[in-house]
Amino acid sequence: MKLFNKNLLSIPPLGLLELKHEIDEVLTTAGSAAYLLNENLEIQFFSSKTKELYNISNESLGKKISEVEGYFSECDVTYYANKIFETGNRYRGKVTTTQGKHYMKRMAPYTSGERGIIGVIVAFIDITEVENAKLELEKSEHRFRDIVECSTDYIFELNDKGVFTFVSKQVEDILGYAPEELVGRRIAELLLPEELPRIVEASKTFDAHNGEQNATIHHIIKKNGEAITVDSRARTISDEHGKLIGYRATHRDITSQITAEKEQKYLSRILENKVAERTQELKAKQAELLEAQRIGKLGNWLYDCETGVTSWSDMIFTIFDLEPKAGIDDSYFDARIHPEDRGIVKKHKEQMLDGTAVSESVQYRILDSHDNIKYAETTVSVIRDATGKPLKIAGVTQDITQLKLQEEERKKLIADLLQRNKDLQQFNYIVSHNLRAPVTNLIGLTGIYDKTLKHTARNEEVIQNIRESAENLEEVLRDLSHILHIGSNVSNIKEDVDLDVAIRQVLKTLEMQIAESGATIKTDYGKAPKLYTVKSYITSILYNLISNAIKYRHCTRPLEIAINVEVGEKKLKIFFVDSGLGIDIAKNNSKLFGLYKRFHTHTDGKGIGLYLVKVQTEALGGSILVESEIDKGTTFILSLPI
Amino acid sequence: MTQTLRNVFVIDDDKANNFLCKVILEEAGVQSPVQSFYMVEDALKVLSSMSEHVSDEFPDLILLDVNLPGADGWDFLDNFRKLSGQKAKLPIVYMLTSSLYQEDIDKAAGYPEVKEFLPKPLTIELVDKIRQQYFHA
Repeated sequence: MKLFNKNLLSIPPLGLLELKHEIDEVLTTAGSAAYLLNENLEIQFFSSKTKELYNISNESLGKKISEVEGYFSECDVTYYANKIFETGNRYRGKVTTTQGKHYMKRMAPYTSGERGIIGVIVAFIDITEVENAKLELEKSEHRFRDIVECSTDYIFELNDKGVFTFVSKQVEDILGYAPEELVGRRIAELLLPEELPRIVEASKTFDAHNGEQNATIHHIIKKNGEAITVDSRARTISDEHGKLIGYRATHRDITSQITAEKEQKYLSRILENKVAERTQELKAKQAELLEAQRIGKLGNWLYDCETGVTSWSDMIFTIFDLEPKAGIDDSYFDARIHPEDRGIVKKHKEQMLDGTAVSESVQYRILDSHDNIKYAETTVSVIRDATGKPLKIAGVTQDITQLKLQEEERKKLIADLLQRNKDLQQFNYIVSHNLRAPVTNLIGLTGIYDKTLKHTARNEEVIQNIRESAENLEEVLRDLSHILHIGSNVSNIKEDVDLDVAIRQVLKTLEMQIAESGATIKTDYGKAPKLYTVKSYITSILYNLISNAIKYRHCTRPLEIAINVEVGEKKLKIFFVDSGLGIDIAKNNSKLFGLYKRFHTHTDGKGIGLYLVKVQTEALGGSILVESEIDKGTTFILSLPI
Repeated sequence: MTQTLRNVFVIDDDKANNFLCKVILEEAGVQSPVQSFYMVEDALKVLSSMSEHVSDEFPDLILLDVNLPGADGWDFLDNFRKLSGQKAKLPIVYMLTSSLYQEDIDKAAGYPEVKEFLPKPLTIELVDKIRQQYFHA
């Protein structure tokens, strides 16, 4: 600005123009622009920076300034230049270029001592930074003023009963109460009754970590009875033991801000809260559902016919013993279905879709990752549109293994009972038949005994038959009492029995018969364990089976008997393999173990041995099976619990 | 009712019963021999050999027990039916048994060859009754 002091301006034109390079440099360094006009307002000189304000070049020299295009809107240089010639006054004003730069424009007369005003100097000082700083300052001043003027917060503390223990001074401006008027009063007195439950509820939802409460917006009643809207933010105050002793909170008066938009926000916040609440409820319900599915071993799935996408609940994966994973389809599960049952499941789905299915449910087997069989039941429901086109297929799949096993067990139990009942009937039948037979004989024989002729040959024969019949009767009665004794008080007379010792003892007893028959006996006891069992039964079973093998040997083939012991997890199996006559199993299986049933008549059996074997085995909790081929031999497989 | 009752087969493994039947039948006046079989197989063997040619020895009456070792009374009836097509005359079969089971009685009713299901022991009165029904006195 020193350039424009009087000394400089009084330099004669020639001198100024002579110094134009130096002047230009000084002006440019100072961030300023200037040009000189003669009395005809023609440009005599311009500094380089003038180009930022005008579309000016060396060709412009000598042209009127009004002919040069300026980059700013308001600046009537011509008008003020004329005024300067008239009055000799200086003018100043602000210019803002189209590029947003601010300049202080100064116009001053250029005088020559004898000639008076010979031109006008127009200078532009760049004040952009100053202007911007000023604007910035104004802005922050305004903001500060706003803050100060609009101080709408008051701070307060409550004890754990909701009683004010401290209120900041601003409360007086906002609510009209002096702080001391509020201390000792309950905050509830300032709240709208209808909002109270919501505020109490919100006060309970403090962040467990830092004690901060979500902002709540509610009304508060001023001293004059008017209600204002406040944005309330609170946190808990705890003592050194972490015990809640009160709350510290701010209330900001937002009454004036509650425009339609704010109202909207407030409502949407409530709505969000509601949505969050509902989401929470739904989550809880879902958790309940999942728990119910877990307990019921029940999973559900939904197939979308349009997209071909199925979704499965977690339990489905558990039932099928599969890892839940992405990008799978039904085939992932199909692989687990028992190969024999895949067709049933597929057919059921097809029939459900075309509406021909008899039942909504289908039962099938699953092979888990350890190849154990599980049972599942799937119940399907097809959701169709108005035209009957399937939209979705909803399914419920339940692991019914437990049920199935129970059912199987029940079936087995019933079968066992039926068999037992049948056995008893058979027993009853046979016993009555065999008891009646000697009795009827006795009746008949005594009827034909000729009392008049005591010593006839026929009478002798009658007496002989009477004796035999009586002996028969006695034998049947003895068998009967023996059989009836089996199974009663079995547990009382159990003891440890060495199986190999027991077999050896029986072989010893049968030594004579074995020697007579010329039988070779091979035994392989393996690791025959000790059995906790009834010794007399085991001995009787072994005796009957081995002696039967000897009794029913083939007449020409030498007899070989092999006794092998196989120890399983829960069962012990003893195989009695002989090379004897064999039995027609297909024909006689049902009678084989029957009482008084005989299949060979060439020896003196009375048909009680195998019956005893069966009854005694069953009394010990075991079972007996037979495999045989006529003229090849017979194998009895005795299973006993360990 | 065209003939005299003669030539009776008793099939039973009970020795006393067979003796008793023989005595009763003789006392009732059955002329020809009473043959006893302890096994169904033996009786069938004799019968099938007879069926090849018409013979007077062919029995008029068979007294059959139900419970026998090996093949039982029912097995006899099944095999007897197969033979019947080849024979000139049909013997009358009576089941003579100590069984009083309804099941057996019902089962016997399924065999047209079985005329009646008789409880043991055989008596002269029963023989007379059979004779009156099916044979000349």
